[in-house]
Amino acid sequence: VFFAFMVNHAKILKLSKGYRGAANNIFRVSIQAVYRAQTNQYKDRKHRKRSYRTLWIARINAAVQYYGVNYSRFMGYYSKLGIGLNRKMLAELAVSEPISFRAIATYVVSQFKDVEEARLIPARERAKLWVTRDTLTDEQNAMTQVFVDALNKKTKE
Amino acid sequence: FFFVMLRTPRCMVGKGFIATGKRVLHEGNKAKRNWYFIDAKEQVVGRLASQIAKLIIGKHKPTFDPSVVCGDNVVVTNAKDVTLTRNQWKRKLYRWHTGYPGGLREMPAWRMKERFPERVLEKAVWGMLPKNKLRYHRFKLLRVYPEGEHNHHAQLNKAAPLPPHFKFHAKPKEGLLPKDDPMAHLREFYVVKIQQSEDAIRADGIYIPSIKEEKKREKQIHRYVHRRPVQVQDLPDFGEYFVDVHNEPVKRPYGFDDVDLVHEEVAENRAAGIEPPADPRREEVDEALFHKHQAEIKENAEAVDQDPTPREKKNDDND
Repeated sequence: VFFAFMVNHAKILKLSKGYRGAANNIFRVSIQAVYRAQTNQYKDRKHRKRSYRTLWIARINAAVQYYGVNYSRFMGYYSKLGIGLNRKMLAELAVSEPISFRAIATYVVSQFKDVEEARLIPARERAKLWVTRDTLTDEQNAMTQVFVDALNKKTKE
Repeated sequence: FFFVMLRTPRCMVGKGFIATGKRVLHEGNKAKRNWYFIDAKEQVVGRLASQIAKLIIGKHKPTFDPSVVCGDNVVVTNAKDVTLTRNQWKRKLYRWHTGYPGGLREMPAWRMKERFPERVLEKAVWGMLPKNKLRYHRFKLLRVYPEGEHNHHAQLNKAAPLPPHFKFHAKPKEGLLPKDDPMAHLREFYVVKIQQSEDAIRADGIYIPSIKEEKKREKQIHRYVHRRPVQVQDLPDFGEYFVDVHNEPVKRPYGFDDVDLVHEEVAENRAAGIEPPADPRREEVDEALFHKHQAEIKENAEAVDQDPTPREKKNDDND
């Protein structure tokens, strides 16, 4: 190494090993390829976190279908229960510890069994249930009973 | 095949695992491939095709890996009896360009059904696969037959029941299912018995396999048995929704005294004066034999030391 520029060029050329043609040899060509490679590395360190998460989600979705739910509903219930596992661990369990995953999935689904059953009821009957909620006061309940009776009359007709 | 693959993708050139030293996410390329047999009679094209695409991509498996072909084989029969809603048989146009000027061609769906009945489903599935280098190779997992006959009777013993959330396989009405239907065995999911007993075969006098074939069958059974996936045991009722792991009965088929016993039980047994049963797997070492063997080794070593050149006796006549 005789000149100062050789030190800096050597750094870049070391990074460009395995590139095609002049890009692994010639500084003026390789610096362009190395710029692109470094920016892609920076980007993909962020993308890596996203792509692994999508993989875990796809795997959990596949595993949870066998218990009668899909990923979106399962996660909605799961996050309310306070089990601390993240998606990475759930996906690992689904693959390598199926019995443990089964325990988690059945527990989650059973805690929200009433919600799932309510989804199966058609909308009109669901409205009847909604009207008679416990959060209403007695006066409000009495008022709403009028509407409930009207709905019942309509279905009978 | 209705188009030509121009170049094999780099990911498929190697065999088996991606041998680059990178971490592989579980099974990947070596995932077990099931065979699903589907009857497309009176099924809507698009709805059926989306389910088939899911099976072929492998999205019904928790070991799904998008970088690799990890789907299952699907055999579809009676593709000519598939349905399209509304006026699509008349109005839906399949379009392509021949490459020459003014070469835009159109074909309505009814005409496609006349000329190439299986392509109606094939094109639907082809369009639903992710558009990447694995599309061609995933599509090869699908076999579509317009009529009820298929070539895959040898794979019927690998046939698997569809996953429960794939519900499109509606049973046809009983009037359409005569008893002599040759594909009746596909209406209900079915596994062929791998081997009949020798007496039964010889009594019928129909077929006596040779020794080679019998060995082959044994190998198949061995492989099938030892590649079974983990069987999820029947767990007890969770009751109010939780498993009480600590109060479950513990099964102890072996009699070791130092493995998996709870400390309390060990203390109880000791207090009661019960000794653990003798382990049948442990062999009692014969100490006299052992010392004798050691002495022999020492003698041999001393003999070798006394005779410094034991290997000089060579016959030079072979040159």
